[in-house]
Amino acid sequence: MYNFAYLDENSKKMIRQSILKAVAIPGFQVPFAGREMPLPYGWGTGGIQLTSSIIGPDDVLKVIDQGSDDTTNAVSIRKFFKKTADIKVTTCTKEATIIQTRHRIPEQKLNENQIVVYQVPIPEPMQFIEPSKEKTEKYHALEEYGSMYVKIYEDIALNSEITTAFDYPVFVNKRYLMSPSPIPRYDNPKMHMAEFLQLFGAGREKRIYAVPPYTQVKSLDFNDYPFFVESFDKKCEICGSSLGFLDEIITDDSGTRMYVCSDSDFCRKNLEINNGTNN
Amino acid sequence: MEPIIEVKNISKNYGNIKALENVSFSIWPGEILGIVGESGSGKSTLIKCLSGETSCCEGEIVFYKDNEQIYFSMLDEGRMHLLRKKDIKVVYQNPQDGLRMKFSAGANIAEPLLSLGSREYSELRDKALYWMDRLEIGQSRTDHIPENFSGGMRQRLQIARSLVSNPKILLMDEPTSGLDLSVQARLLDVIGKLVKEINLTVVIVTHDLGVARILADRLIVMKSGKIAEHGLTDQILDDPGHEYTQLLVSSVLRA
Repeated sequence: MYNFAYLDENSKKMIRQSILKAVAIPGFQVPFAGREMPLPYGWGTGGIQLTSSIIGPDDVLKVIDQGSDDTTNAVSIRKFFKKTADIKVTTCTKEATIIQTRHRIPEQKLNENQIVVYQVPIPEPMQFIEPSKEKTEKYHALEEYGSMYVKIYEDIALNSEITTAFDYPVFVNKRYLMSPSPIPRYDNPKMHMAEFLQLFGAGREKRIYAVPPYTQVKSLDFNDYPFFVESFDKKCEICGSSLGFLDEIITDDSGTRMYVCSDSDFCRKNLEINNGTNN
Repeated sequence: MEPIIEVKNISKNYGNIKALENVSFSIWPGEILGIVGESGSGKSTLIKCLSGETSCCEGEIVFYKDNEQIYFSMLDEGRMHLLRKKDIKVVYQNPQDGLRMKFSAGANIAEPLLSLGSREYSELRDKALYWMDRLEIGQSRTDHIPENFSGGMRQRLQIARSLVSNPKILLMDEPTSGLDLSVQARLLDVIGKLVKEINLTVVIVTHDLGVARILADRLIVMKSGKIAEHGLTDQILDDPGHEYTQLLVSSVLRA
């Protein structure tokens, strides 16, 4: 009914060529002829096209949205590939060979045999400062990134610390400024010298970029205001771990809050281990 | 003495329109050079050529920097960008062309330093406060956005942003037009003082002969893309030789 993994082979070829270019120039946004996908822009059309182009019959796919395997977006995309490619899907981070993600990097350490595909809404990190694409492209070409620092200067001037909490811009391989997609800045250090290939797809903006394995990824900062990640003085109320990124969930109208792991597979594994020791 | 910029026979055409025709002159270090002329006479095109914003069709502009001669026609885009970032700064007629209106005044002053590679917040902050004070905007406005500033303050902020990288030459395109007279006077006063103190070279384009008389050491009078007359400011304004300059001087309203 469908070609393997939905996209026709010529489209896949075109996307693979763009991926190769993106891997060759880490952090550089490669334009590609984005196809119409059977879901709206903003739902992961870029990520799906990447996954569709790199996936093979032996691959095992995991899809997460905000760290969770159970949200609508994750469930739908998993079903989409199950139906169109008839491949094995999983929620277990260790088992997966391709992990398509929106807004998180799994807590579980990934290895060289795994690929992370990020869904990207806005690939251009400087867009909020300089809306003209013509200009931002020139800024990249001339390595002119002063304007991006203006943002963190202002964060410190107004709030005494860098308040950018997600989509925290990074320098890749000491050259290109890159948006890591809206992952929390808590996840930024996981990108540095990572063992896995990272591919980024922006469907609406029709851009692909990549961070090859073992590439330097440095978060933007000042010498006297170095980059840092948030720490939590709370524990997950389901598994009891304090090692993962926590979501704050409001549970009633009077503002009662509950903190739980955002990575659902990580939380589940912790729970299994805890139950094992309890028995 | 060496000039800081030498303009050799430049011409610039926009299609059939000759905006500049065989213009030659030198700019000397530490001077304020005024360029006057009616609108459409090629003043702004000249500034754009001097700042490297556009390239001339013919002729050559030479920039003398620390015993080095830099030929504009031989610079690629990246090297021209570097020159514009550091040594040659432009102050635009409309402050919003030279400022980021949605970012604080301090951030506006810090940006050129960030572009040049400064990565110490405390140093940037000190420089921002210093220049806010120097241009008489007031340190208390450092974290306010220029959208909430008056026209005169915006213009002074634009000058602060231009000077923070310690440039060799400042090109100002009608910096005082649109400001009321008392604000103009204050701006001119600030510019005059700064030039003496930091040994800056300034080219100021204006259609206001009053501004030219107060600030400029030398004047160039433009007419239809050519230099009609040039010389010392007082000499030109008191004893204009070219008939166009005579017309210009005689048409100033006497108060």
